[in-house]
Parts: sequence; structure tokens; C-alpha cells
Amino acid sequence: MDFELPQEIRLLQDNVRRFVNEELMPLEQAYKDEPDLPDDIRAGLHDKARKLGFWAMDLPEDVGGGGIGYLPLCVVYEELARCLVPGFRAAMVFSPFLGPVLLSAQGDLRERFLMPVVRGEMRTCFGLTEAGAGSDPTQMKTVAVRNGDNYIVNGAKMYITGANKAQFIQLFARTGTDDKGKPEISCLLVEMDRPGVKLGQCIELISPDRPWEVVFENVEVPAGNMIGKPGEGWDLARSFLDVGRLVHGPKAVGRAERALQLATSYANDRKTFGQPLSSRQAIQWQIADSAVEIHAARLMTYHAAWMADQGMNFHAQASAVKLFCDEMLMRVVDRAIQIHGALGLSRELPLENIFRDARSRLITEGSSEMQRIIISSQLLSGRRQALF
Amino acid sequence: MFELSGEQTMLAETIEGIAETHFRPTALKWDQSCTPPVENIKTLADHGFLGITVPEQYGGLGASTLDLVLVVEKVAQSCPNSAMVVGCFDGATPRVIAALGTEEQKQRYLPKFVTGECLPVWGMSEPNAGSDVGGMSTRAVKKGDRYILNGSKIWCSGAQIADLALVFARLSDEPGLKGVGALLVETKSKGFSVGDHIEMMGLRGTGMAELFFNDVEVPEENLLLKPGRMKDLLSVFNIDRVATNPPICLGAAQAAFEAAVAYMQERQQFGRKLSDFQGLQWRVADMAIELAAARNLLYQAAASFDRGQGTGLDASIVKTYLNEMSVRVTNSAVQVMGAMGLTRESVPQRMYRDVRGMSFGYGTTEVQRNMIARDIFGGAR
Repeated sequence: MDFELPQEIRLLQDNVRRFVNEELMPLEQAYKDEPDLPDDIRAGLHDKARKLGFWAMDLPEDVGGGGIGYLPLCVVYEELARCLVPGFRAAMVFSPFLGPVLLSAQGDLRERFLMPVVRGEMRTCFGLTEAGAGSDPTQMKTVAVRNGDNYIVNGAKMYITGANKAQFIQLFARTGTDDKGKPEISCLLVEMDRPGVKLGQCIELISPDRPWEVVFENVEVPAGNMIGKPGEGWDLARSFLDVGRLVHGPKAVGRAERALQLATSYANDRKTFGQPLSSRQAIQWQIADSAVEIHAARLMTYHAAWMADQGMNFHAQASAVKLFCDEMLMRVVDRAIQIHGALGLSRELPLENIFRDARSRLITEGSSEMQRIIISSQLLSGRRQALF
Repeated sequence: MFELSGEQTMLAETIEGIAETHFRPTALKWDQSCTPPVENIKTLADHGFLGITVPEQYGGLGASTLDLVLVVEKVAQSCPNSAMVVGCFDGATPRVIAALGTEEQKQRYLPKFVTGECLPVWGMSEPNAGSDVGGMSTRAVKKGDRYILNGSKIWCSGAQIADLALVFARLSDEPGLKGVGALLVETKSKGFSVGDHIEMMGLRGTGMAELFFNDVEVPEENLLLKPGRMKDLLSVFNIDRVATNPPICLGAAQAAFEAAVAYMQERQQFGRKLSDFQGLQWRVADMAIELAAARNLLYQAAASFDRGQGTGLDASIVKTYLNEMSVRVTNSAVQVMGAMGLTRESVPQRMYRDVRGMSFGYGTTEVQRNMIARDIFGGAR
């Protein structure tokens, strides 16, 4: 078992770190409380990414991407996460927000929807959650009723990141009931400017996110806009969520490293009663605890990423990564704030932003509770003996 | 055996009613606009709930520590920002004046805390002197019949609407705490300025700002504490560690808990109410256990101080436990509400942000732990 990161990944890591320091860190204070960087700044960064050969590094080669695996992608995400911009739920600057669902698109859907997003000409968003269907997506009420060559869509989605900037939504809707009486869920690509599609309220959260309600009133969507077949929606959504949960790992590790670095240098600099805080044992132990947790989080992330790259089922492992890494980040940033005293709460520093953002991660994309249900159900059913 | 008296129960019910009617509906506003709840101060003054611990001969009610705990707690349950402001009118500044001030100072200021005409701000921390109070550099030099004050203070709740500042400054050349004393400084004095609102994660509606002193002339009659007399403040600090900080934690945590429980009885997923899931039931049970422990610990300590038996150890234990309990409970309340718990409008989210800073003011939980251990192992406080 070779624990050394391969040289090409280490090179990639260095290059990304340099990009973050030179291009992204200077933007942090101005934009850290925004859900995303302004479009013009983002466009400039995309250009720089293209020139460096970074653009679409994570996308499959058959769409013109770099085809790097999940392990190098996690290393990239960890470097990016040290900087607070662009926001946690915004697309990284090296690639469009895409996901496995859109990558499954076939035929002319690839030219009409997938490739424009790959090229950065269009943007998309992911429409699964509803006000009454969070942890339990099968409760969704958005329906798509077949009518000739079209589906007629009615319903509303909630907490949709980036809906205001998207040209189309990857919409999950009930298209019927299966023979077990469970809802049949399918995925339709719906252009945001179709008649009947409306942005509802914009919701402010504790974190710097501003997701949207999206309302569908008798929207006519061609049946050809469906990805996969009717009833395949849930499997598609699950693949999206698995990858999303996996990358919570490096996104948490990078932020936690930033918080720990701030705490360590403050502890060394800040003097009270004639001694630096770092001379106090209780402070030392807090720093030790943070470093240990970050180390564990990073390694479990790499392991899960490796499983994904091997084509193994990593569903429970992705859950474990999200659960542990997000809860770890909360503890690490909380300690970092405490070490800074009142200054740790001030908006002048990045810490309270990291804290508020970190808090949202234990809920969105599958709460910690749901992750525990996924993990325990695998173990208790006997399908797995252990996660490793 | 311990229970609230009939009068205390009535006091708690009255202020709870006022807070729910007048403060709860606008609580979010102060958080979003980052302005202090000035209209709530007027409501409290009109109902006689400001400066209640000011002795009766100066216009107050001479209320007990436990009375104050109840008032601060119930206000915090509806609006923590308002509770912080109550803490200005009944907190350390009035208590220091009542305990250590000259008769003239008491006459001049105490009645005005009761009417609300004078809002005092506490000026102690500096950018380089938080836990290490003796490390402060704000200095006041005696020139004839006045002091010339130079320096600055930070993390001052209420600064933007304050009329009076209690400013700790170096009054002699002795190093550390030995050189530190305190002056009463009117905020409209020449050379006195207030900074921009300091944006913090929570308690964003207290008008918190820096205070700047540029050759401010302070008459010698305004000397409140001679240098080297910080020990005299210990009993004042101990009472604030019980009466104005922990009740905010308790009230906020209680509000978050109630919001969470109500939500769980409505919200359904997987065909069941959230209140039907064992994992979440246990979470709620843990919250209830902690709230009960915290409430009893706090009320009992306050009553002990009222009997003259409260100690620094009691105060440190109460503050540490209530501070950390409120973070755990508000955190749980956010979690059981899911994404709703994260929204700007949600009560748990706001309480969660508001209580986080309580572990810093009045002595960090770290410093409290140092003091507790010293008490146990027999060192000096």
C-alpha cells in the first residue's frame, strides 16, 4: 500500500495552491459573504484556468475534460477549500457545475445541454429538494404528466442553488407510481425560460448561500428532454449525491487546515500574562485534537476517492466521509474561534464565516442523521462487515 | 428545597409577557439591520424594568440577583439583543457605581439608569488586552483637577447609543493590574468618539463598537476606582457572571428548544412526524436534561448570592456550564429543523449565532476553568 501521493498529483497540488494564493485569496475579503464570485470575475478566472490547462480537469475525456480521477480531484478541492471564495456551493473555478446526472445525457441532449455547460456557455442547477421533501425525497409533489410528446410539469422545488443563474434545471419529478406503489421519479432537463417556470423566493441562510424556490405551472417539456428512462430518476440522483458527499471531505479538510493554521499562528503570537497562548497546555491540546482529526479526515477521504476510482460501490463510504469530515470541520473551526477570543467572532477574520458555512454542511446534501441511517443500514443488513 | 417566591413568579410572568408581545415580533429586525433595539429600551423603562437592582433610595427596586436573572432570561427568550441592553442598565457599570462610587456619583447616575436616560457602556477590553486586563494601554494622566484620557476600547456592547462609559485606564505607572483604575466618562465629552458598528457573528443588534479617547478631559470627581483596586471589583464580576451573562444563554437556548419541539410535531418525512424518530427523540431529551440542569444551577447560584453565600467558584461554574450548554442546545435545535433551521428567519439559527459569543465576555470559559482549578487546588483566584 503506497501512501505517497503520486508525483503528478503532487505537481497538480502545487500548481493549484499557487493559483489559489495568487488569484483567489486577494478576492476573499470582498466576496466571502456572497454565494459566488461576480460573473465577470468568474469569467476572467475561467480564462486563466483555460490558459493553464486546468479547465474541466475533472470531466470525462469524451467531453473534452481532463479525466482526472476522484483522488486527484479531492486533492484539488482541498487546496481550493483553503480559500473562502468562490463559496462552498458554487462551482469551482476550474470546471462548470455539472454532475453525473448531466453526464448521463444521451443523443441530442448532449449537444443541447451537456456541451454548452462544459464549454462554460450555459449553467445548470440541481432540482430535487422540496419544502415537504428533504430527507425523504419520495415525498416530492412535483409531477410530470405525460401528454402526447410532452410532459406537463406542476410543482415547486426549494433551496435550489444557482437557480437564478441557470439556463436549465435538472428536475426530478414524479412521473407515475411503480408496481410496488412507490413514486416513480424521473429526471427532465427543463429550460428556465420555458413558459410557466418562475423563480420564487430567494432564501437567506446562516451561511453565505442564497438558494431559490423554483415554481412550475403547467410547464410543457418535450419527452425527449428526459435523461434516462422514466423511473431512473432516483438512481441518477443518488449518483449525484454520492459524488457530492465524497467531495464534502476535501472541502472540509481544506477549510479546517485554514482554521487550524490561523489558530496556530494566533496562539504563537497572542500574549497574555507575559506568555504566548501556545505555552498553555489546554490550548496545546486543542491544537493537537484539531490536527489529529484533520489527518483522519484526509485519509478517509483519500480512501473513499480511491474506491470511487476503482469503480467500487462507495455509497456508504461517501456517507461516512461527509458525516465525519463536516462534523470535524465544525469542531476544528469552533476551537479556532475560541482560541482567538472575541476576535474570532469578528467579520474581519474568516473564522466566523467558516463556522456559519460549516454549520450548514451538516444538514444540506443529506443531513448527518441521514448519513448515519445509510451507514448503519448497510452494516445491520449484513451487506457489509465494515466500511474499510 | 428550592422554589421561586410568588412575587418572583409574577415578575417572571410579567416580563415574559412584555417580551413576547413587544420584543419577539421585532427581534429579527435588530439582527438584520445591525442597530440596537432603542424602542425596546423605552418599553422596558415605561414598565419599570430598567435598573431594577439599583437600590431603592436611588429610584430602583433594589431587586435581587435572582430577580435580575429572571428578567434577563425572559427578555433573552424573545430577543437576546434586548437582553444584552438590559444587562447594560443592570450590569457591571451600575453595580460598580452602587458598590464603590461616591455618594455624588451615585446620585448623579443611578436614578438615570432606572429611567433609561443614561445608558452606560463598559470600557475594559482593548485589542491587545482581553483576558489579560492588566495588559491594557489606555492611559489617564492627572493634570490639575482633571484626567487627560488617551487610548481606545473594543467589544463595547451598547457603545453606539451610550451616554456614559466606565473606562478602565492606567492611572499610575505601576505595571499590570496595579496601575489600572477606572473613570466615569460622559460620551459627549470632547475628544470622545465611537467607531463603526463592529460586525460579529451574533448579537448584531447591540450597537457594539470601539471607543476612542483623544485627550478627553475627565473631571477628578469622576474617578471611580483608584489604581490597584481591581480586587474590589471581584464581587461585582462574580454577580455578573451569574446575573447578566448566563441568563441570556438560558433564555436563548430555551427559545431554540421550544421552536425545535414545535417543528418536530408538525414536520413529516417518511410518513412519520420527526417527533416519532428515536434518534431525534433522544436529541430532544438531551436538550431538556441540559436546560433543566442549567436552570437549576443558575437559579440556585443566584439565590446563594442573595443570601450572601455565593462564591467565585459558583460564578465560574455557572458561567462555564451555561455558556457551553447553550451552544450545544441551540446547535441541536438547528439540526433537528434541517434546512429550515439554517434560514435567516429561524429562531434556532439566530440563537445559535447569538450565544456563541457569551463564552468570551465576563471572562472566557478558559479563564473560568483556570479559576475553578485554582479554587479546587487551593491557589489564589
